[in-house]
Amino acid sequence: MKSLALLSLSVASLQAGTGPNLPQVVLPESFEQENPGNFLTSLFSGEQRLDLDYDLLDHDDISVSRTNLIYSQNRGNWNLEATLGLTDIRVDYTDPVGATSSSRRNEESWSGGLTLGMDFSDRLSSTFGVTAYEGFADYQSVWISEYYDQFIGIPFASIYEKASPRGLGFTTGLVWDDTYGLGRISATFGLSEDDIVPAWSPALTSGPMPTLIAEPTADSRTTYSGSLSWEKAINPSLKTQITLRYIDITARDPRIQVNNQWAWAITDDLTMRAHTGAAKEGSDFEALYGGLSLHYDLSAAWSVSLAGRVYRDTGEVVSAGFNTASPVLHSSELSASLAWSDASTTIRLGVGIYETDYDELDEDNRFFSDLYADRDFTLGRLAISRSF
Amino acid sequence: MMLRFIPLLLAMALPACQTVSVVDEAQLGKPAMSFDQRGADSPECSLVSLLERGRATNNQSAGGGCSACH
Repeated sequence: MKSLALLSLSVASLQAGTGPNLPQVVLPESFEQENPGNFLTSLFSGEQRLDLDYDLLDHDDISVSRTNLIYSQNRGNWNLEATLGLTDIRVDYTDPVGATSSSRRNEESWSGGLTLGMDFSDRLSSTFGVTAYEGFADYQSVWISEYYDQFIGIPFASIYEKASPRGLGFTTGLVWDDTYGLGRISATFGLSEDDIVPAWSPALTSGPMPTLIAEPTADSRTTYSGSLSWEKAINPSLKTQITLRYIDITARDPRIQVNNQWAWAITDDLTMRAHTGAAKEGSDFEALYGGLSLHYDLSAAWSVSLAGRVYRDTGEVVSAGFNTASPVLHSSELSASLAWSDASTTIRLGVGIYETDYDELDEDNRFFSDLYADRDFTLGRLAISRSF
Repeated sequence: MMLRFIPLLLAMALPACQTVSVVDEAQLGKPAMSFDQRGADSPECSLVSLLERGRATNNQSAGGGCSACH
């Protein structure tokens, strides 16, 4: 519901072309005389842009919607970007084993971020950003949390603590932009701390009188990440970008990810995009993906995009026995969108079908068969951007 | 594994190499050609990355981060 409120508020601001709604600030008369404009006008000046996205992932028993508002401003050598995101998750929880009861769970979460950038020269710039969030980031976490709330939380009510995911992260980056020479090279480094949904399991205390208790696994993670990206125009109508990422999360093998994108302006009106990528995490996890999209300008104002993607991974294999890891996933997406734009505003409406196909879980993990069931999701996207 | 294909892709692109200059900006700078699309310039629904963990490009994106890490 908060997402919808944010959406309507921001649409009103975009339509008015006045930027975000801010409280009125009463300034001393002398200030007003010395500043013929307005404090807010001077604060919100330079090249500015507002982006508002509403994304939907929907199925009969799972629905996730996310609203993002991004405000950015360029002023001289400085630029700033502020983001606010609200996510609504609805899960109709079921347990095919019958150890827990069916229930409906609704969760709301928020995230925010601030990034400051500075241009050292025409070619070299840097960024520093901070991000924070509170609440469940995905529906899988909600489902798993509901399982532990019932399976452990009811019999061990006195010691069980409900999950409260949250996180804080910092990023910094350097960009060398030589578009018509070497290309655009960027490097980023990130550090984040996350409080996660821990796994709980019954255990016996040691000593002469063993007692049955419940114990959680570690409930926090530290993530170090780095990326190196190179974007290069091959000729006046073709360019490519290759990105290498390294992600190291506490208690897991480092993950390496490679991504390669291509953009080809076939004609003035028709653009084709392609991407391929792969990820590997120790011997436990591998993923491969790729996609193709076509963008066609129907007129000066209207354009249409069609996209298809496929993805497969080896599943998040955890050592044998009970665990919450997802099995092998094959998925595919087909989507289309229509956009209208003028000199300062772009509005896009998109729909799609997203199909997931999981391998069967082993006997130990039948509890989560419904979580990792095959589904045909409906995708929706409404996005508005305005520069002013 | 993917690394094996990158030199091949780049090699395929070599014959197409030409010098680019600022006069090509109109074509290369179109939103549809950008690798940094956002807002209404991007046709992609960001929620798909909730399931495709091998494709996720960041750990703390708008909407959250690693809340289960399972």
